[in-house]
Amino acid sequence: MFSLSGWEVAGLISKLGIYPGIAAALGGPLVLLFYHDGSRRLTRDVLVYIALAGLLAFHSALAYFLIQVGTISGSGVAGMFDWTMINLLLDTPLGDSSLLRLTSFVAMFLLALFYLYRIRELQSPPEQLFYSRLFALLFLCALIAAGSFRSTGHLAVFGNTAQLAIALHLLAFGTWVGALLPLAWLCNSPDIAQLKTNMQRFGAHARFILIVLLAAGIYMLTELLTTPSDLIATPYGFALSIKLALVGLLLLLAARHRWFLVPALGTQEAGLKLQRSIYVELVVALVLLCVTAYFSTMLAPPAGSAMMAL
Amino acid sequence: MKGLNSLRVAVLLLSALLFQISAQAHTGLQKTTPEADSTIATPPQTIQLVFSGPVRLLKFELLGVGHTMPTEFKANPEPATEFNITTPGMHPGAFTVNWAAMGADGHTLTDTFAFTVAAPTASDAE
Repeated sequence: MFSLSGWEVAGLISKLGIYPGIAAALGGPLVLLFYHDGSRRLTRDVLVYIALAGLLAFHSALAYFLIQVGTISGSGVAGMFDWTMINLLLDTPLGDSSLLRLTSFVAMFLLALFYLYRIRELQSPPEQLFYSRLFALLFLCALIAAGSFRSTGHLAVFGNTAQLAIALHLLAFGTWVGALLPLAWLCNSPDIAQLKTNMQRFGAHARFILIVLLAAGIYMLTELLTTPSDLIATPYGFALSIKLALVGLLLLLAARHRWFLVPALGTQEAGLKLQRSIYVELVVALVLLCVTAYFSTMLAPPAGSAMMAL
Repeated sequence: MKGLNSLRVAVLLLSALLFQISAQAHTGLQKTTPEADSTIATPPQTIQLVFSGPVRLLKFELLGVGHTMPTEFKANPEPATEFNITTPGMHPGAFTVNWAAMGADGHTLTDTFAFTVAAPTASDAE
């Protein structure tokens, strides 16, 4: 039977807090750049969202590192601040990935604050260049944070292709999930025609995001599992199956939006219906992130997988 | 509302499913010398830890009953599969080894094992 120690639970929770940072840095600016409804309120709300997600992710990354220090020190909470152990761990891949994450999330938070200040100073709505720059800078932050997953995790011991796959997978998923909350806010817009156009545009872009997400994910599956039967025959594979089922559910929800709810947009009520469905999609995505954090931390790929052959 | 209730049920089922999955170890401790829970006749000069894959051994603590034993352990960030730690001053008694390591994938491993060094018998003294 499975049991989790306090340290393991703390580690899982802190790891979970890292993902929203990457997602918000990708999805938020994407919505502002391509699907903006012209309101200053949306820009402000998305920038606050990015700032808060960056702040959460920064503290989560720091907590995750200190929790590993505490786990190894074995001296309770005080052991988390064992300077000798901190120095030792900074010299490991965990230290490398933690420093990358902390740097990217601080940058993300400061950028969001800076752009919030700028939007307050502007007398008229910002031009497209404003959003392009924001997108480029935050994408860089997210890229650095995603790159940190190369140093740790099951695929860290693989070659460059697998590490590239995980970075792409993370970036694609982060972009999709990170855009959901701003898209839900867009549904409050009184201009339904513009809302419909923006949602259709997102649907078209989302196809490309999905291709990258699924291609990278399938490649990672082939590296982590030895045979398809591992999906039901091993604990890691079983947890992966749960993740795949949730991905399937997300795809169904996305398809429902694309083929039914968005074409039916014509009234405020239809907009609110779409908004509720996007919130459901967000909850499923959060559950999926919990599952991912769990099996990537607590379980190991099956013996005999490409990883174990190294 | 109906959709939200279904979602709640799904999340609860999922949580129950996940907690049924037994944790599968990452790189683990394969062998120790002395063996875990063994009783040996002679105090060991070294304690050996052998892992199933390269790890960074970051902590090694040898405890007697109520006291910490000296060792020549020095944490090294370089990964290896086998570690031999010199343990001077060993004597008969019960001992516990607490160790912590980090696998190549960055996962932390911590565990403990115990062994006993038997007291010399009258025939040994002759």
